[in-house]
Amino acid sequence: MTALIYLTGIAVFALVIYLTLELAPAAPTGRLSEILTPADGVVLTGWRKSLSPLDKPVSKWTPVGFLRKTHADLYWAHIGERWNDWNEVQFTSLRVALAVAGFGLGMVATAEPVFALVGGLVGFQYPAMSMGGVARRYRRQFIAQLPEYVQLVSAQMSANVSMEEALRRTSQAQSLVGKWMRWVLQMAQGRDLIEQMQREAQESHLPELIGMSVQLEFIRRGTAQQELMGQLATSIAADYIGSAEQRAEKVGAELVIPMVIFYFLPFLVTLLAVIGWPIFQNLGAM
Amino acid sequence: MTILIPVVGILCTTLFLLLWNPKQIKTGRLAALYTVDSARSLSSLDPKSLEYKLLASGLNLKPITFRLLRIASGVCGMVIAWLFLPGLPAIVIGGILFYVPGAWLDDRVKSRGRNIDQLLPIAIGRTAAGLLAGGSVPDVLQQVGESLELEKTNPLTPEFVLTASEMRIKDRLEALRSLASRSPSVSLSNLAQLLEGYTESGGRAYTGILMDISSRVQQILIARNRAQAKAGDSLVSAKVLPVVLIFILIYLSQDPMVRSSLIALPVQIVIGVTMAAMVGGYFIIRSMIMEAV
Repeated sequence: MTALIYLTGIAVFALVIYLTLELAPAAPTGRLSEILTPADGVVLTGWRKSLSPLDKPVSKWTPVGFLRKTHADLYWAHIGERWNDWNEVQFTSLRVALAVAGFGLGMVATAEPVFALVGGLVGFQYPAMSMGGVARRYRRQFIAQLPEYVQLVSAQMSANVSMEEALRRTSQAQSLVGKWMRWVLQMAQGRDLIEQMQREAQESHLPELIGMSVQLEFIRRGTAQQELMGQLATSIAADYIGSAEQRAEKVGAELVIPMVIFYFLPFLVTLLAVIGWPIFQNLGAM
Repeated sequence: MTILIPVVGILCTTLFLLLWNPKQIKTGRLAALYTVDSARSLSSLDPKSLEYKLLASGLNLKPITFRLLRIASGVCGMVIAWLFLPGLPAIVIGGILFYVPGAWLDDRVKSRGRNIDQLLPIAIGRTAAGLLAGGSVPDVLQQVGESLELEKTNPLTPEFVLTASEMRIKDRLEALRSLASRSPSVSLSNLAQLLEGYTESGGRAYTGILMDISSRVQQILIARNRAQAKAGDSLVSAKVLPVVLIFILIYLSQDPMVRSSLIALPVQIVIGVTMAAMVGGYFIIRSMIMEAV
């Protein structure tokens, strides 16, 4: 066991050296360099500033797939105006920090590694559940509103309006898709609108949106744009109608965990407590 | 039993304030749930304010009265529950009775949009048919709104009637934009935009397109409503289980030993937590079902 103390000491020392010493080259390189380099004039504040020492190791050791998924969730959370300005590395740093805090708290409170691990797991999962819930809600809302929005674009184009202008006009819609389109238009200043839409669709990781943006690109290149747009609107509507039925079927399965947590477990515990308490008291008296 | 005296006092005071509180319109019933006036007033209020929520939900109450009712129901619930199950469960019941009206009101406001969505397939069909027959947009909207009102009171009629009257007295496009902006339903807002396109393009040439698009939107809405109704079936067990638990507890409480255990603090904590979990869980599950489709 004594060796563990030395090993822990060496590991902590190495971590401190790694975090504090700045090695040349100072400019970050590699796939995640964009994430590590803050935009000019952006000053980290609050939690993000406090957690910034963790960003470097997190970006280095976290699997790319994990970061990509977090990025997609954050994209939808940003659409819902939550977790603004957070990026996937900062968010993962927060999760790691909370996991360590949960583990530490568990050890202090219970001195049992199992409970401490549970505390760490809760700390790691809670931010993801909180942000993931927001992202899921906005993603579903977007999917539900997309077919109707495409109908509006199709209607505009049927009245001999160009695709860009139709997208511009329909962006005034009150829906989440309208809001997203306003964002795309804002980002596409001086760039190609459909290409920007494809970029945003890829960032969102939403298959429906990626599919739509790719098809819009084909329609733009085609000659019979109005007919093609009409077909796209019809197919998106048909897809939605089919998937709505499937989702309704799946809701039952999704509700199993909340039903168990909020109903069945409390139900059983209450019955056991009411019936078992006199027995427990009698046992104590003996 | 002396504890009942302050409860009766609270109830009398609440009743007195309810009856004597000055009201702008004394209808004496909740018939005027969705009037054109309320649709107009809604657009000028903050959607997060209690005043907006009360108006949108169709409750003819002032914010102060609603708050008073919440407090009164919480206190009364707690005192009445105390008589049968004294201690923590009674306090939790009081808390739940204070919380539930607020959550119910929020849900009613959200359901205004859902009620509109449920009626929209019919309304879209009638509107498209009316326009195809050569009617003007304000006339068709007015007639469709009135026809829906004949079946039952609904939140869509005042929106249509108000838009029709606004279209007659001011710029048509502006009236449709106003409908789109104040609409609690995204689908109604989209319909307003569709009609805006129809009005802009001069009508006639656009009728065929409007018919096609309308039928597709109609299908989307019907599918969504059907799927939501199907998903709502899962809520049945969430409603049944608490009732089953209450019946089991009443049945078990006939036993003197169980009755004594009901006033033990650990058991009371368990019952209180269970009540709170079930009420909170109901709202969480309901929102999951509503957002699923």
